[in-house]
Amino acid sequence: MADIDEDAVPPSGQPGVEVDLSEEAQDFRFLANLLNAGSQHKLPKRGEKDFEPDATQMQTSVLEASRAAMEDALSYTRVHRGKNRTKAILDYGGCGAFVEKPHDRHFMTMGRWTGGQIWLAPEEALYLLERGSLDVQWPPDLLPGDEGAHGAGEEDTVPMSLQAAYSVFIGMGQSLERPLTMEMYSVYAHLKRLGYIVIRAGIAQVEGPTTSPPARTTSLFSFLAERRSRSAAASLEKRGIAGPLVSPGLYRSYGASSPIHRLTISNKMLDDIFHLLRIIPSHNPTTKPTDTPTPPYFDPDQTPDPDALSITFHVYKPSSNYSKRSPPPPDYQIAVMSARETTVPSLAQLSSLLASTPYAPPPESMPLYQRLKKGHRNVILAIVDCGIVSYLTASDAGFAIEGIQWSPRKRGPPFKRSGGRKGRHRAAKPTGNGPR
Amino acid sequence: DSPDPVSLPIPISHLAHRYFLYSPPNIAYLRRHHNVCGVLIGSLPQVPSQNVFMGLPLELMPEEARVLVERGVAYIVDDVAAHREGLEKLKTADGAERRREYMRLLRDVGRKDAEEVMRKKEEVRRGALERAAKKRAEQQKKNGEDVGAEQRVEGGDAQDVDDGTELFSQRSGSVASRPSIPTESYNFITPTSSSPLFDVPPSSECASTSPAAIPVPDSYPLFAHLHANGYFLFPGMRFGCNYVAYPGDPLRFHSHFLSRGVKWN
Repeated sequence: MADIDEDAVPPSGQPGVEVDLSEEAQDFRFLANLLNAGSQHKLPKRGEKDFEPDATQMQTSVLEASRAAMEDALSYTRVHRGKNRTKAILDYGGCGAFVEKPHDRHFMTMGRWTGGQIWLAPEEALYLLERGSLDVQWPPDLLPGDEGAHGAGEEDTVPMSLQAAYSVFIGMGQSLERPLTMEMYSVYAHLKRLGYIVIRAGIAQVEGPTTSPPARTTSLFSFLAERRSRSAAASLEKRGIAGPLVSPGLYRSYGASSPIHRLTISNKMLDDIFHLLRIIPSHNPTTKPTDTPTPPYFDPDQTPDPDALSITFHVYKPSSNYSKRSPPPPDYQIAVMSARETTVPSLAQLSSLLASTPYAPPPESMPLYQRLKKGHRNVILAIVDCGIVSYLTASDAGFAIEGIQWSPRKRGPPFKRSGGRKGRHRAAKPTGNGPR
Repeated sequence: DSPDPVSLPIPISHLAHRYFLYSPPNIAYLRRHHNVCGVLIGSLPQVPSQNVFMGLPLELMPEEARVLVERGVAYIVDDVAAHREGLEKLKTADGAERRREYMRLLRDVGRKDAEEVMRKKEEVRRGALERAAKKRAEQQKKNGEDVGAEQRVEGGDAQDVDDGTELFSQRSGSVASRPSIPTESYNFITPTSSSPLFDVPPSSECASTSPAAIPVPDSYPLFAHLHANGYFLFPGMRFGCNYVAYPGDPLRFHSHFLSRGVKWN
């Protein structure tokens, strides 16, 4: 699984050596090390594996030990001990759960208050139940407990099993307005286990980011960009349709040091030989995405495109000071896709998906290649294949305005520029770090 | 060769077009005898904040479910219908008896856990007391060697030590005489599987033994062929293929190749 972002990766042992242990089947014999270590950051070592079965007793016994350890680990029973027990009652109609006395740190970021109780969304209830932090009970009117078995005042409700929770929260919720799909839950739980704060998009309306870019007249940057494109068009006209791309003359300027610098000396730009050679119109991510291409089969009178992608989750880094009442703009936005039911998204799908994300141009201080990677808008696609999640970043990168043809000369020592030769040119649009 | 306490056929939960297993013995059985491993997708409650070791449920690819149903070792249960119907059935008088039985079962597990916790606590306390006693004994010895200086203080110390040991013996005595736990104490359990409360036999209306009822992708013939040849297969989307093929249990062996089904005709 690709990491979401380099800076969001939890601290690992050695930087540079990227070994994602979650990518492969783990030897459950090493789980004991993890349990005894008591530290979450200490991940077990990769177990030694063999090439193929060689019918030796030794191999068989090791495999048997691994299988037994696995079965043992899976046979663990979720127990709620004493004061650590948090009880919830299933909300069968709304397919969620009500928590009466939330006293767990999880409720800092999960659930919402309704009438003196916390209501948990299906993914929240299922996740907490699965990790053994929540004891969800069947509502007594649906499945009464064992009356009279306890003393007076004791509860008599039946606990929901993990299996029942999956079938209710995912299976029965399909008829709801905003159903929880298995793909969504896989992504949700995966990110929660990593420590991220994950909120379903659309449930808590995020006020912060606006979807439209700043008005163009107010921005010096876009003003200059516009002016530049106008003068470029003028220069194109000047040289005529059939004229030479580069009219005879003396050319000394092969580009300036930074995009901003380049723009402020836009007159000189006309002398720039690379600029004169540019004849193919290119995409500018700073423009408002109203002119997103629609697929030819799409009829605006009909219902919205059923294949349209949409943002599923807002994700916050664990360290952010997130508040349930007024959530800040999310750090990442994730769109969940099923590997088995969908294909590679089309440009139209991706464009409209990106148009729904907030406009967030990369900061000027960022190195060129990172700026390209981040883009002016970006979204993470989470592709789920039978419970295995791959993450891909799609970003609206300004290849034309970043000026990738000019070497990033003044950005560092001449021979230490990051990635100029190490093949990071591979970054294509949409940039992605791909399923590894 | 190893005795597997598994009753065949095995129920596979079908839910939102996915196939799940919740029972560890069944999962182990299918791994051992039918080279089906599936993907563990749940959080492991022992260590919930990591993605390396995963827990129940185990998700099966539709291909795996179909192969197992074709072999007659498993049948498909519509989990939503099973739970809906089960809830209705439990409202009857017969259901009430089953419910009571189920609760008794859970309470037994909870009581055992409570006893276990108490026993461990006791062990820890006893260990701590023994360590404390040892430390005091050492201290006493050290003080004894350190005769020269303060007779009076030393005497006071000795008094303290005496008190301590007396207290200790008293305590351990009381521990021994007290019944280890009150009999009514038990912990609350969240069971993993809905069995026995919502069990569905293969003959039920919510169950299906027909392999054709399991929709599979075009690459299914490839899957069936590799599986019949003894390969363990993992879903391979992240490697850009249909299946990752392992020569033996992926717990022990490296993958040999990636495979991709290409439609013929």
